[in-house]
Amino acid sequence: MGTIRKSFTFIELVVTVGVVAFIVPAIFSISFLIFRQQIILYSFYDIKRQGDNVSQSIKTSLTTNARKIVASDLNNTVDICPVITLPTPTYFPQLFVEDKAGNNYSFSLESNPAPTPNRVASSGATIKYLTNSDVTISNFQFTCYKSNSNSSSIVTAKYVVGKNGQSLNYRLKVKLNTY
Amino acid sequence: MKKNRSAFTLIEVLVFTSILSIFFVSAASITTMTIKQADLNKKKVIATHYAEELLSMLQGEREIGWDTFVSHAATESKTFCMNGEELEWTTSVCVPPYSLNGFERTVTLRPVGVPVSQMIIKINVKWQEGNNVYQVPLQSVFNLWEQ
Repeated sequence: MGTIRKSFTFIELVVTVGVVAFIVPAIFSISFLIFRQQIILYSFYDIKRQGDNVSQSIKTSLTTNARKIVASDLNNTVDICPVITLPTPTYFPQLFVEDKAGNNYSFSLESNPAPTPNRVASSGATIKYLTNSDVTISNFQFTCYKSNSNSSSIVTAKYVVGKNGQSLNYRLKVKLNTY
Repeated sequence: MKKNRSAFTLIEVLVFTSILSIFFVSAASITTMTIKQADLNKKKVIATHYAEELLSMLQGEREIGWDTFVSHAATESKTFCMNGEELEWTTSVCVPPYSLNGFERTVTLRPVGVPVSQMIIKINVKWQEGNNVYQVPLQSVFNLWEQ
């Protein structure tokens, strides 16, 4: 006795496969777009968090602890900020500071060990990193001046924090609280 | 001889198509909304950064000299466009608008007291998305005794 087998026709299968082939790439591309947007958003959160931390650390350190800006040597005590009324900034990559106790420390970019991206470091007796390897820091620069010989130094810092192709520029101006 | 073939009725096909279309329309609108919201959040983060950056620059200016700082709005409330990299105390209206990477940043200084002992700072960063204008405001107060 013969059995009656019910199955899809060739046309039904072709149509089904065609619809699936149309929908699946669309779903994947939309998912990828959302995923990419979320990566960009979280990159900005991280960039801002770490950039703000650097900004706040430099500002707090300079306003509460710094006595003067010195030349590029941890044992130097000569104040290097020129007296000018209209500053024409000449930026330098590392800031050496003498604190109120007479000890020198600096802010700079460090990439130790070698493959590690540049991180902002506060170097004195010990090195303290203000950013981690998730973000890249570039164009990290300082300049300083005084409005007159008896006034405190005014320090300008600028740097760019980036991650996953996104970046934010930072710029801050701090007057030392020393004289 | 008559052949008895079973198939979907028109009503069944219509119901199925309607459910499927509702699903796809909902999915598309949720996707669009998610992407727009993510983009909006990204711009809010950037706008907040621009506002805080300007506040930091103004704090630096205030620390350098109170008299110079308050001279920009010594007698009355004034608004300045701050789309540049440096503080510019010249224009009140940003021309062209949104020239700060698609954002527009302004600050309003409102002096209090004669001579000025307090300055109310209102920073506003805004941007445009289609017909909507979004903004991130930031307010602070600088006092003479804080120096």
